[in-house]
Amino acid sequence: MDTQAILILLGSFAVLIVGGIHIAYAMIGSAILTILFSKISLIVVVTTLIDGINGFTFLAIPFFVLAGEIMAQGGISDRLIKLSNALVGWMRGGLAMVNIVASVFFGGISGSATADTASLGSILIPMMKKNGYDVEFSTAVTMASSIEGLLIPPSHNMIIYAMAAGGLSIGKLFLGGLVPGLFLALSLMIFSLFISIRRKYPKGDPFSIKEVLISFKESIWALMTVLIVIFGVISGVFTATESAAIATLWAFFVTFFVYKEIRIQAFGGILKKALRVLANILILIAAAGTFGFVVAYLQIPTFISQAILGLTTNKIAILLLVNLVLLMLGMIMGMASIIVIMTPILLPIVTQLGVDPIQFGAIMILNCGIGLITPPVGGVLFVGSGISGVKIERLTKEMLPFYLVLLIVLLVVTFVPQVTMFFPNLIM
Amino acid sequence: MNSVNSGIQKISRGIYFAIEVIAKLIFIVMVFSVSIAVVGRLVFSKSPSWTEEIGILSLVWLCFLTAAMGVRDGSHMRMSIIEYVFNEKICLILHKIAYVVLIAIYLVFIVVGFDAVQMMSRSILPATRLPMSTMYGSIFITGILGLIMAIARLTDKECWN
Repeated sequence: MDTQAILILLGSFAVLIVGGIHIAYAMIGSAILTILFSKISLIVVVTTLIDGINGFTFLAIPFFVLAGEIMAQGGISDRLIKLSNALVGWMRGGLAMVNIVASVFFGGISGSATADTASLGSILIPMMKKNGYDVEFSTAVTMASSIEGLLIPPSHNMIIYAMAAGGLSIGKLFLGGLVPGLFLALSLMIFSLFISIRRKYPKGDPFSIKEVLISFKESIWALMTVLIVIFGVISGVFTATESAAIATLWAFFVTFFVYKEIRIQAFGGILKKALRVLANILILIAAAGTFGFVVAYLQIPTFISQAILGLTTNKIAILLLVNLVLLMLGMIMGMASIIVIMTPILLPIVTQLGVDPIQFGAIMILNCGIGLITPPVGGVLFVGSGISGVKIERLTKEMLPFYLVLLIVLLVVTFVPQVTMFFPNLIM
Repeated sequence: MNSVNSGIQKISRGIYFAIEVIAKLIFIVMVFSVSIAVVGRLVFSKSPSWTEEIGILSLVWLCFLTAAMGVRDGSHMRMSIIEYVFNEKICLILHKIAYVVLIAIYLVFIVVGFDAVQMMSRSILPATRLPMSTMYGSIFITGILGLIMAIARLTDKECWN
């Protein structure tokens, strides 16, 4: 093992990211330095960058991002909120429940916690405030529930994980995320109900089956996007990439020819927004190809695995440690970066302990999701603060009990494999 | 000096606009090539062999072209710990150093990307029969575009005020 090369790789990477270099370029830069030190031909930088992104499955990522952007701007939020209101608005703290359930639907479509918070939050936070909810609570529940969408299929982060893990079944991963996502929603609903009773938040209109049917009829076009992907992939009719392409065309059709709330001229702007998101994600995936090559060349996963397993073989202790590492990274790094960097390092360790890679996918995504709403670097936290006008410090204080709920859910997902593995084992 | 700077900004804006238009077109080609494959397979029980290759080729170009756009926008993911630790002046210097590092990386892209294009020009992609260099050329071109974008960003006074 070349200890000097490992120190150069990890040392330069740490200096570059802490110094504020873009993470993808910090990965490429540190890899270049290590390659030069190891006297390998620099041509591998090019070949590994191309190999990093050169996969048919990766095509699903831009498609899901575009489909999510089209739906998010095409009037879907109002319809999903109306459907959620008809389903759970009658409960105590009805609008908080609506917020959580709408995130299940919306997150399924967009797969992005930031888009979820921005789209639903801009409608629901003012609505909740008007109905007597504290603005801090309204924002906190919007942000916490936005994580559901990362787990509920389809999720482009699951695809990034699948590829970082060396090519897992996307169908199994999608199914694996379903129960943890719904369990998270249920946990947040129970907690919000408890808070709503204590703070005497209002109930919504009484339950009406007629209202449910009407709002379902209005939303079914949008919900079909999710159904195309889930059933397409699980039944084997489509691959993940194919289903994503069809979902994009469907989203385009529904938005511009069924709902017609925005004009076709707006499509250029939607494409531009999708490109901005992709500018971040795709280069990270390519960079992970180069960084991953050097990491594998230097046998770093084996080294870390031996170091941790040499310290303890206690499964509970190691899984707690893994969660702690991911949570701490989540506080300072973005989701896609953590997935592409940490999956090749941590997956071999947890699989040695008998954790299924599908289950670890749910653990990884949930950890990174929590990172999105924790300071100092939480993308969703910034969006929530921006929409509600509540300062990050006040939001973080209101979020404290929500963090506790999320950690309980994380522990359940980590230590009860059946929560994740039930559907994949049953169906596939 | 000011006229040189405004010239750089003008050129970078023009290139940015061109990249954006090309990236949008590539995106649309990508969606349609995969959709054609699905329709071909489900309706005609056979999908054209070129669809997958065009899809992947488009993805590779989209990846690196949007990366260059991200450099100009300053929108790439990075850790913002320095903003909590150092004062504004030091942060500004560190941000500028970040772009100098980017310039160095893009120079490597240009040099090594050019070698890769030459090396791969004799190989061909199996379905479309296009030279393999059409794929590897993306690194070389991105090297040039990224270099221009990084210099433009570094010299754009509006970004640093």
